[in-house]
Amino acid sequence: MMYYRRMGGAGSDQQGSNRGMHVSLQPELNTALTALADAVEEFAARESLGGALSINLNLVLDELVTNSVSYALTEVEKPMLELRLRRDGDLVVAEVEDNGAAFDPFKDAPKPDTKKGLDERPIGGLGVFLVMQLTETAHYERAGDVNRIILHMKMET
Amino acid sequence: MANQSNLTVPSVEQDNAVVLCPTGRVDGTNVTILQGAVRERLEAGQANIVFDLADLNYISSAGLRVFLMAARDLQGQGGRAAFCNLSEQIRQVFEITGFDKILSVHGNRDDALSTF
Repeated sequence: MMYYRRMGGAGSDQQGSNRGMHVSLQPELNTALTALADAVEEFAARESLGGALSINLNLVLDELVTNSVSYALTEVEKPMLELRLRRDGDLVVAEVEDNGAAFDPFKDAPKPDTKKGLDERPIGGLGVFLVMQLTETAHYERAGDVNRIILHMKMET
Repeated sequence: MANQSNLTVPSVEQDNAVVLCPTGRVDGTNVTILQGAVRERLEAGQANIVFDLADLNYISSAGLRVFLMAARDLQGQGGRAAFCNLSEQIRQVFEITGFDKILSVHGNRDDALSTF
């Protein structure tokens, strides 16, 4: 069963070692996270990412895709969820786009207080916090009716 | 691959605790399996649970929330949760989120069991 379509033949929209990968994800959690894990695995193998970076890349994209599927896209008539991965020198650049209502997770999501004790710790906000902590930069922009998140992660040396 | 078949939670009773060994990946699609395993023990009146994470390859915030709730619920019924055998990545996630400060984290299962 095909979970997603690849753009440009073998998923390449650039040439050489910087060639990227573009995957359209279904707005259903199990399908989307499965396709995401497969895409990250393939990209990690292709770009020789280390194990830790590969897991962390999967993790930060998991958190964003989960939010898109569970919140942003639930009321959208024709939901769109796109993932792009590419390498730029010693950076991995990952983009997630959805066409849900405008939402900047880095500004609008609740911030967890990591100093609070077991009893006071709120349950939410961990996902976005992990994204911010595990990336070099995490940028949000609204482009037309699309939410676009651009992440930079450093290659392991 | 992230789907339900990629998480099992075998358990073993040891000393005065139960050891749960989440095996595979935990994310938003299968977190209810982990949740169910914990709830079953809570409802059975189990006070102490060790989460042995030696075979846990991946966890997202969905799974972290279950750990936090489990620790809180166990404390509420006079018990405790302890965690051991964290991989490098999971240890990093615990440190970033401050879970290493609010949860009882140990190097190996024996150390975790000895805290009860």
